[in-house]
Amino acid sequence: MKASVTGAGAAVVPAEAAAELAPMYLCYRFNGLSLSVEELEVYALARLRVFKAAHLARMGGSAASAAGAQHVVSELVIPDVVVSTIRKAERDEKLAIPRESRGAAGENEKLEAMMRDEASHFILRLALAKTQEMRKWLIHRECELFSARVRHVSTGAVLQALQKACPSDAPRIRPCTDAELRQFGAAMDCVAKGVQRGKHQHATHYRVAFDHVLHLVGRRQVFLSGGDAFVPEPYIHDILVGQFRARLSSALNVISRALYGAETHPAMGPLLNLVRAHWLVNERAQSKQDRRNDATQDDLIDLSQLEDSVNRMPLCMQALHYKLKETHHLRHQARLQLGLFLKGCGLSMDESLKFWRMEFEKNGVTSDKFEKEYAYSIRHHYGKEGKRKNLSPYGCMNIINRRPGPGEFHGCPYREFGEERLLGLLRTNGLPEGVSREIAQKSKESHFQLACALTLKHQHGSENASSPEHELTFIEHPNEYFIVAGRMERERLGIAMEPPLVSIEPTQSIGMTDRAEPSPSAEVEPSLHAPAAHDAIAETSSGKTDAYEHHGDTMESERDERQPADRQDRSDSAAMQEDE
Amino acid sequence: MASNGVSLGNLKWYYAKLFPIKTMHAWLAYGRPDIDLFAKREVSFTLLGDIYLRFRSFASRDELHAALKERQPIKIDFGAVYNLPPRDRGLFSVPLVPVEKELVFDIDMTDYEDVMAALKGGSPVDETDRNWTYMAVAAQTLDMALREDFGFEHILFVYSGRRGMHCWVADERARALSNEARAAIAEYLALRFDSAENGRKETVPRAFSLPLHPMLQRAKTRILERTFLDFVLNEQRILDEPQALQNVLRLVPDAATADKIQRYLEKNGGRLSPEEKWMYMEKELRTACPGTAEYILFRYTYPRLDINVSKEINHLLKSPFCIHPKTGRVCAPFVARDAYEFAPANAAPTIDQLILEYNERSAKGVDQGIEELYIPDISLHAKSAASSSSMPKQSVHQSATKQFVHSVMILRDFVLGLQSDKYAAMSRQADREDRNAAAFLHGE
Repeated sequence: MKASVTGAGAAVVPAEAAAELAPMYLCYRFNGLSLSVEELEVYALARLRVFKAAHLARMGGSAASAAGAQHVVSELVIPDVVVSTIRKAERDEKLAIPRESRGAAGENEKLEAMMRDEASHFILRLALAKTQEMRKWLIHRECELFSARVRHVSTGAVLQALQKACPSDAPRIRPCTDAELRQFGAAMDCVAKGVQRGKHQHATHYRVAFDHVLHLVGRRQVFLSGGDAFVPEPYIHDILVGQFRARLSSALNVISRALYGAETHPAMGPLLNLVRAHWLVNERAQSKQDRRNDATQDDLIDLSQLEDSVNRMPLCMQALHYKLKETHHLRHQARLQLGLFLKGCGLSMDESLKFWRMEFEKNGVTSDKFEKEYAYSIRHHYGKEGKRKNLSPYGCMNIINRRPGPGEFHGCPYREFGEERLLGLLRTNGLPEGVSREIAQKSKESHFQLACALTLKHQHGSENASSPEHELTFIEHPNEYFIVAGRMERERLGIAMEPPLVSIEPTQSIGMTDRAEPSPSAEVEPSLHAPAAHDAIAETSSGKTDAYEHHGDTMESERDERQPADRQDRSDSAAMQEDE
Repeated sequence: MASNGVSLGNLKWYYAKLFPIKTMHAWLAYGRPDIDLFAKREVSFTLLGDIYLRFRSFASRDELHAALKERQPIKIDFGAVYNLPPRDRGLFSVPLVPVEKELVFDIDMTDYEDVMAALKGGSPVDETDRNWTYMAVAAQTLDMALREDFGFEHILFVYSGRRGMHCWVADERARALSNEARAAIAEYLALRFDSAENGRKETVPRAFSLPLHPMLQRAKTRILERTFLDFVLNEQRILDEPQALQNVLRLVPDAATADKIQRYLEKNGGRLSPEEKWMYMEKELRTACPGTAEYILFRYTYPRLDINVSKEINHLLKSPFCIHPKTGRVCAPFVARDAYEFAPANAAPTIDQLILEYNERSAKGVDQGIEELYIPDISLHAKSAASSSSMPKQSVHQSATKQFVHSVMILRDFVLGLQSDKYAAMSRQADREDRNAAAFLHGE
């Protein structure tokens, strides 16, 4: 058991067992068994704890170790340490299906585990199908768990599981023929060399329709011919995970539209709300170090303070700001990156309009032209046009992954800038040469967010400071950077901190939280002080369900979101094909 | 020659007499009754004064034709086919959901500004005409990858009227692609080039670590190398002009090597041909910084896709046979094979020329539309159409009209290709419905 968890030399699982060990949850198989609401809740909580353990392992791994750069790449590639954490957590929570069972007692134990596993999965499905955010979260976590479970299953077993999961339209997977190997072998080797997934140059390749391995296609990590991808054996697992994801995703979409029945059920409705409350507490607890959630009036600025606040901005925004001051123009992606950030910093829509108009006019853009071509998109950022969706400022991952082409200036400087240019920018921020070199080195090693945290620390931190702000080693959001930089500055100057606002005014909270969450502070605060969610079943009554009630307000906007084309309009025409 | 702006009177006449409404309709209907696809297609008009009308849809060919004549849009865009006619959205409690659309690509000359050297400058149109080779290379490279790697067959390239071109992939499989699949294809095909301003990189992008991906290697040996020698070195002259040479050397990650190359070229540049300079550079780079020679070659030749256009099923793209409002040129389809010969200055007729020739014809008493005069019938019933030659009904003597007819014939060939596929597709569809019914009955 132990050995299989740590991975090295894992025993190969017989084919027929694979589906049992890593169920695809095609249906709930324990219908005859009646379970109490309390039991269901306990199972659901156990599963949430497994997910939380996985999340913590991943975060810990990525912030501290060299894996930091890796989580840019793919969620399909799970570091070994996360896999073993997941396996351990699910054994502790009695959700793992034992590999072998001895005697009647063992058989019973196995059935029990399967039941708990399935019940907890389906309860979470129901509970977390409600909003897009929940669905996304659940899909991500479930896929991670599933992926950890199939990690050491043999290829044969995976193929069989695929066959079993979708008998009607199973992905057409077959081993390459000798003729194909002769014809394409060299090409396949070329691709394999660029891939870091171990030594499979001589591994068996399988032929499968390209749309089953889109993540490989998108990164050009597979050889294609005639619409088929030639996939090295280790990737077959990803196809199964992909199928799992697709099935879960479409199931959740169906559930989300048919949720009314469950919500109004006298026993089920409250249970689902309870589970959501637990989920919410967990999520909040995980992001509590995200200071965007407790921004105070002091942390925000208005237009008159903007110029004085430039040095508080992370480099990605500084660079755009300087570029704008220099050329009085930015292209679309850059305007989005900077504009949404400024919104998160506290600029109102009118101030934003004024700011951009001022700059663009210096470039000869007439007021009329500005109104026609740019004002719309700024109002759009504030949710006043088009789908009326309030856009959130981009987080680091988003910025890092949106890479600039020629003539574009958005993106993460730690990733995009050459060493000279990066050092230059650090120098203008007054960082000593030695520190700058260290930062540049981190960037070179692809630790962009660590490098950014270093900049923050050395530019704004003070030697003997003790506030929690100084423990930040990993930047996840430019607005977080901005807030922390401001606090550090004030601390250095000896200005006392205000306590967090109890509730943020709507105009100020715009864009401060991801998604259309209502202001988190007031309602959720009490539960943050409660013991960790799993000890708090008894306490989950009033306070948290209230929190949830409030959350319900956002459902309307979520629903709108799911009808993408419904209210599209000129925002799309703006992005529409033009050959200017 | 290029008119400044297009008058509405001309447009009305164009839509009435020249716009190949029958062929366009035959394309968008895909051989199915209008209610299946054509009526559910989003059509968007741009009227004079930047007025956008989105989410229009038309129940029939005649309805669309009438609307074109009445509103005289300066631009027509096609979006996705939705689950219901987009103009009826809101009438039912069903949300409007995009169901299918061609896979599309967009390439714009503006994205090539940083690699142009000797041929740079002038008005946007002139610059494009001079640098059309970039577009020709892009069309052929894209065409090859779409066919060989993805197995797509029905591909239409269209000049966008001024600065670029569009590509429509209309295979049934392509039209059904999910957003994720579109994004993956776009990213597979697109290479990312750094902004020159961000300074020297320590390494060349990972895509150029050797060996190259087979798709890139194939593009290089079959198309890009030749273009690089003939066009980039000899016409664009990137190694001959000091500033252009600087731009090239900036891509070399190793400063010492870059210096060495620069000194050598400064000393011997006068007596070396562009090819000889490149051979020297390639030799130096091969040992000092592997992959860099490939990086330079691709940066100066490989298609630069605006991948955001390709990623979303509901993205709009300009229709073929629009008239570009600033140049007056027809957005004419062309064939990738002949992309080099398709020089837009000659091959894309302007509305003014077409008017002139129409007036000549009508002076002789001929007042029919282009399709009635020259284009063989394309309706499904005329089954023999598929085998009929791709020659116009009768020979055309006027030059602009001749080009126009030629580009309609290209669209027609594209549609006929789709129709010959249609019978196979119909039997597949029936198959799938049977299977779904069976699955439904068995409680799947």
